[in-house]
Amino acid sequence: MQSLNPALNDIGLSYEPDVLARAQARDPDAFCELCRPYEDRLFRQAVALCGDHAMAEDLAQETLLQAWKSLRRFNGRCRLFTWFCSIMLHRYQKLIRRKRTVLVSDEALGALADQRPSPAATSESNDRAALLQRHLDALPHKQRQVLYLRFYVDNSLEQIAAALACSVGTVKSRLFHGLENLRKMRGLKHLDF
Amino acid sequence: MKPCRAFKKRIALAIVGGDNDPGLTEHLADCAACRVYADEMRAISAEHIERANQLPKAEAPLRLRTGFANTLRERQQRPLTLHWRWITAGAAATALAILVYLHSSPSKTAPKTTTVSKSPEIETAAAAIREPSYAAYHRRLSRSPEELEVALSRYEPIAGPSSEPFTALSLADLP
Repeated sequence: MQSLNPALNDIGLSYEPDVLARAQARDPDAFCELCRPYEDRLFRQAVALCGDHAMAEDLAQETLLQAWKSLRRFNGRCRLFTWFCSIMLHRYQKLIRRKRTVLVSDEALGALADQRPSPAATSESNDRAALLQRHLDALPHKQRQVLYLRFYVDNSLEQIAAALACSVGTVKSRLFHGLENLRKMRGLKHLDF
Repeated sequence: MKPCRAFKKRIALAIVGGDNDPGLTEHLADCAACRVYADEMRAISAEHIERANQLPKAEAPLRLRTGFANTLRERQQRPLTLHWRWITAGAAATALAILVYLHSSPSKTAPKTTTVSKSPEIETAAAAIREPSYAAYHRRLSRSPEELEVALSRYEPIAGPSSEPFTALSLADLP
């Protein structure tokens, strides 16, 4: 399976099996040691997802805590970073739900005092990045997971299937439908998703 | 022009999924609509890959590392507290459930009482203990005065200046 983005594969993310075994035996120091090489990249992914450093920090921390709780279930069939990312996407989904609820209640306040920079003030690339993120956010959770792991983590379909505990066929189907939805959204890109 | 339905998934999976599909190249050479579709898929893929490469090179803040490590150590140090907390909560919930059950169905849970029919001797003894009353007199109105005399002779006279003991003779004064 070819890599979509070789730039993402230059990071030597590996771990000693011994460290993993100790972490799975509930050794917090071993788990911290296991996570250390992934923290920056995980945080970067969280920033990309949330677009906010404070929220990204919370998301990364929640991800690591959840990973600690369920580390025994990691079977090594996918990369550890992929596994972290799949957890992070789950947590992010919950965050989006909470955020949407808050946004609905805050709509009236936001209309009164909108302190966000105007569209003209932001650069074009930022706008495009924000639009792509909104498109991803608008996708069903399962399709977003697959597309995110493919584009932003550069996982093969087999690795994605292993991380999400589903078949490669399911991953292909979700990937296709996600891309179809993105294509439709691109056609309607003037609309704010 | 719409792309061929049979080829849409193959195109998407070949471009984004990395599938090797030799038959697809031939089809794309012949079908303009599918070529447009393939271009769209390439554009989507390129946009997201470009964005992935432009992700800010942010480093995880120190407080994420230390905070996370501290949280883990704290959790590791008090596993029993957490354990006992759940046990206590479970016990409290069970006790509450039992209380609710007891209050909601007292007839089912009350101690069983055995009803034994009283023998005539016991009834007589009980009657001897009871004070005489108008009801008792009325119940006995059907009896003969002699029987009543016998029955009343078992009762002690009620003490007090104003309360005369009832006798069979006083029955005549009853309305």
